Amino acid sequence: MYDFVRFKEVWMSLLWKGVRIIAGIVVVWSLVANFLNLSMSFSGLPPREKEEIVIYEKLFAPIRFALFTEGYDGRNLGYVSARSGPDKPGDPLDDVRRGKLRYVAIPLILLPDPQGMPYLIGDYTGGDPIPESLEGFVKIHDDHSGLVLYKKVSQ
Amino acid sequence: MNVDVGLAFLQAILVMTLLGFFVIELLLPPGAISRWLVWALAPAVGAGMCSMIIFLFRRPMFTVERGLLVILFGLWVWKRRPPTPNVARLLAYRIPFLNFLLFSAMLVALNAAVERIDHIPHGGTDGYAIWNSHARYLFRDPHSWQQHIQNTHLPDYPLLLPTLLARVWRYSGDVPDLGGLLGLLFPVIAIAVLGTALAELRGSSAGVLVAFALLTSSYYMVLGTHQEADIPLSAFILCTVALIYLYFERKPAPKGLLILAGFLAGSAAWTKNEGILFFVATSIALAFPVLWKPRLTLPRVGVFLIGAALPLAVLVYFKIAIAPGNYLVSGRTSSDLAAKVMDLDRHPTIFGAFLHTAWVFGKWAVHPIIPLLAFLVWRGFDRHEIRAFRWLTAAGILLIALGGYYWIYVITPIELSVHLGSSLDRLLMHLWPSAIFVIGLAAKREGINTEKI
Repeated sequence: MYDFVRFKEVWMSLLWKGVRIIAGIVVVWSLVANFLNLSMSFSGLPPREKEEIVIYEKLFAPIRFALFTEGYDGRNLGYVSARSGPDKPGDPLDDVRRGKLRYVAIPLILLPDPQGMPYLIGDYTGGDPIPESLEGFVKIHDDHSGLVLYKKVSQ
Repeated sequence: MNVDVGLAFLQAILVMTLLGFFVIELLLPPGAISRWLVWALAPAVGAGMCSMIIFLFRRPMFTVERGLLVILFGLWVWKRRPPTPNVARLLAYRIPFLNFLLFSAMLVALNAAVERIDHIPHGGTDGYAIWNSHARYLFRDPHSWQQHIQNTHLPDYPLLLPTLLARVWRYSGDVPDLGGLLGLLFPVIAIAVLGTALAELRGSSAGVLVAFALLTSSYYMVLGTHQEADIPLSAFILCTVALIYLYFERKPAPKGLLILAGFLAGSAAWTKNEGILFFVATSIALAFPVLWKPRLTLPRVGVFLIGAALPLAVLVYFKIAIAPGNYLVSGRTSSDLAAKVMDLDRHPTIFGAFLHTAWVFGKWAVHPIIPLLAFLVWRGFDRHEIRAFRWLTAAGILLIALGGYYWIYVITPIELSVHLGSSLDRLLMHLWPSAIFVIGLAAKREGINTEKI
């Protein structure tokens, strides 16, 4: 009887030690696997120069300066592109690009509707042909980057 | 980014951390929590304070911050009479091996995260469209931001993160990368609070393991670089839950812990609209025992609300005076809401999405619940702990918040699959650090017999 109880205790103790060793291995293995996964999850992004907002920031700086030299102290700017603008329906892709340009332009306010705007930003960065003028507007800044500034023609 | 910008950024973080440190030290009796935990909590408390300082004072922000720093330092020296630092003891300190492993892994991860920020300096989609846009209006349009912020996406979102970023820009200049570095501070705070709090409560190996589980939750760290408010919110939630647990665990319970918890829960509400839900969940969990212990519970809730008063006042002012209505509630009718609630197809869809997303939201190789359960087996499961009021309160807060998220999806006006797909992983991330904190608390303390479960 004594031997059986002792035998059971020894086996239970060994079994428990085994379970704890396996648990320890699971802990170490899981954390190492997750750490390797973490290292990989940070990579795979295109270089900074290819990031669309970084590009827009660079392209918008001369336009901001052009507005400054024009003496424009208002806030609102209209947005046009080859697909959006007067007499053209909006375009979902343009919504994304305008969203980015809207962030870049702050504190200027970029509005989708060009009606009543003194200036328009023309976004032709996708390689679309740049019109010399839009109805009621004339081009006043174009450094061939694709982002241009139009000014309303005074009546 | 040059050295001057980097140094100015460090100065901004140092001032913020010191403000938090002195407030914690002054609110708590000596030895209430370890010095490590005080330092881990300090940037979170300082972040809440600095956000409100710039929101309320704007131009004299530097004067207010520095004046407050001098006053708090004077009070700290007067009240605490800190001994001269023992340099020999500091030099003799040897870092434990497990802590060394965690610090090394953190350095590697932070280095990779900083490199990632260099690739996306303006953050992820929500980062630039919401949080950085708000910060730019605060910084570039100081006289009329209240009016013009309405032109951004979701202008009703609270302003803790944008004000902190505008503050950093006032220190360092308008450098976009600083938003990413600021965003990275909050995962570091969460890892530090998780590690130090659990080390204090369950031993250093528990602290290191659970902190490691958070560090290796890939999406948590990646989100930190996206300059979005989800990770700051998760850090405030964790700090609040940890402080409430410590309040109930300490004998006698220091009221300062509950005041700090209130302040941080209020800061969570000032970070994101979901933080308001968390604040309500915490208040409910704290007030629940009023049914059988009103004399003990009501003063406790009162102390918690005293801590939350300032951030809540700022939030209420913002919501009433500046923010437009929220898309979830604006223009909704009771019949519309009732129709959503009664639509029985929505419930299994949401429940299924919760179950599926809970398994994958961290984008990890192995779900950390596996090593955490293995750790409980290895260390031993504390049955008494999970029946204790302190543990039930901490877990209850998270369950109420999770239930709140469920009901938001039930009544959302956005198409359900779109809303679930675009936000559920981030919502679960809010509660993740606190959830693993609560799981870690179920382990036996270090040194206690672990031969049997």
